[in-house]
Amino acid sequence: MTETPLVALHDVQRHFPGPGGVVRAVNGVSLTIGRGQTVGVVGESGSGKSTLGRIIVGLDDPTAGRVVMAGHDLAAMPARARRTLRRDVQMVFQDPYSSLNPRMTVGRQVGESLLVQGGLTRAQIAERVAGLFDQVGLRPAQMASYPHEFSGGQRQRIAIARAVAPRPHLIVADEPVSALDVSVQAQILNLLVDIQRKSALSYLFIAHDIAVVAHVSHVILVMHRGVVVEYGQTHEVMGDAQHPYSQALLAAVPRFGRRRRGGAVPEPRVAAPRERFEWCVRSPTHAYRVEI
Amino acid sequence: MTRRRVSWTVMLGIGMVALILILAAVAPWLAPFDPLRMAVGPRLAAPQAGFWFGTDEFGRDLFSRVLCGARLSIGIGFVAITIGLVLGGVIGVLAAFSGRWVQALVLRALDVLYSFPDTLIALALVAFLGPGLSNATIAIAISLIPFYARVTFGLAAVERPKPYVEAARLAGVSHSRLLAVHVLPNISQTLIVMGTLGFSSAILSAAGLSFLGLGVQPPAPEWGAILAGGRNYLTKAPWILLCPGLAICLTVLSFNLIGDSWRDLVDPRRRGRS
Repeated sequence: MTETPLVALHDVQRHFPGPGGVVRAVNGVSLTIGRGQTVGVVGESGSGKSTLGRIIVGLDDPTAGRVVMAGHDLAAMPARARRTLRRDVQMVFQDPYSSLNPRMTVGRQVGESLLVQGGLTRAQIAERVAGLFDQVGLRPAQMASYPHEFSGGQRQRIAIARAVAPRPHLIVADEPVSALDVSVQAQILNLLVDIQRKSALSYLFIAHDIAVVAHVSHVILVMHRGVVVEYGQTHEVMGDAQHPYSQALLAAVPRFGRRRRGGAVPEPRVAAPRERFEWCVRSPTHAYRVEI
Repeated sequence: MTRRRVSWTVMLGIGMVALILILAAVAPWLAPFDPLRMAVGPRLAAPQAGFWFGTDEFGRDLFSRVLCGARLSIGIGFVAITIGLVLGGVIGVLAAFSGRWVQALVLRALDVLYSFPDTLIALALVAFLGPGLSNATIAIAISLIPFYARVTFGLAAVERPKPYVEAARLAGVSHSRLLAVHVLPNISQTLIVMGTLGFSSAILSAAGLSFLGLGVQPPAPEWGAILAGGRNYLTKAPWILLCPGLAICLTVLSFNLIGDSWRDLVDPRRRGRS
């Protein structure tokens, strides 16, 4: 027997009413996130990866299926207990511009979760926020500034500090680097890994670039049309992807000294969200799962 | 940020509003006569030295009356707009952040109210509450609520799905704190502009109600009330109508000038055009 996972999803579904029928954004996803583990989610736009992340942080509720957090089924819990449990899950958003309140100093935003949690004096909060600024590579003197005074990379550092502030067990990072300059992306990725090493938290790392995901993740989950088409240890997926869609994603990663293998693998293509995608149905890897 | 060139219309508006507010503030000391005292001069005298705006049917000095009336008219407008903006704003923000059914219900109710002209609602309310200064103010305030609730709803609904709002939720911020500390500061600037623009219509409503005898009661020198008193002497003494009418007109104009240019500054979509 293994210890209870931090988060476990069982056959989670999320459907949205669309103009021409129901859109199954998340269509039966099961996964587990262990303590201190990074689970990477890859998929193209509309594959349901962001919806999955929003369900895990509690910004969205599943249409069906169970979300189990530290052994507690969320749907079966009273709202108050749910809220306390939810505090252990924080989020880093994609766009570092809209994710910070333009009319509040960044120091207050980082310290807000501590303030509303109660139990700390203002001085103690300021001290902790200063420590967090230091940790994410910003000067504590910048606490009194407003978001517009920072660059995109700095803003993402602030957003990370805000997510880390309440000492969560899990951070859902929804495309945390895709809005940043390439030169800054690596810094932010390293910062995330660095924080994980120090505080042993888990990540659900969502991105459309499988190379970025592989860089930080222990486990990779490939999503397509709301369905998990590949789920396995990073080295397994990167070295020996079973599903043609994962193979296509891997083939799309640009590399030095390698020509694109034209025609050898199907191109990932953008299809209408409701279009049935043959792979999901045909492939035996649909049910592929790894116990960690 | 670069310094934006301030257009002459803003300067004119600010100058005029400042002048009007100063005049209203010092009116009791500036006015040559008691605005309520009758027979300080001949009846229905034309504008002349000593009686700059002429006199009315009771021989009261019109200049003093219009000057002192500014306090009443602007005061009613200010109080009404403040109440309307605050209540409408609260309704709008709450509706924007409530569930689908509550939202639909509130919006449809506002639509129904919004389809009536402001003045008509104010009239109906005064008929219900009874005429008088404070009742007229309350009526005008309530008649403004649907408009401000609608505007606030639109602004708040834009903020609701933004990640910073969701991040605040994840931080464990309570609903009321979320609205007051996060959403409100982000929409307040536009709301203040809308308030400035609405100020003129509130003054007009106040004058309209008083003109109909439902607002400020004679002999108080409210602009609308002066107009109402003078309408029987239109042919003999047009200045009784002209002077308070011009006062209303200029006040409304100058507040609109400020509001319009302020909106251009705040609204990024209008930036660059002038």
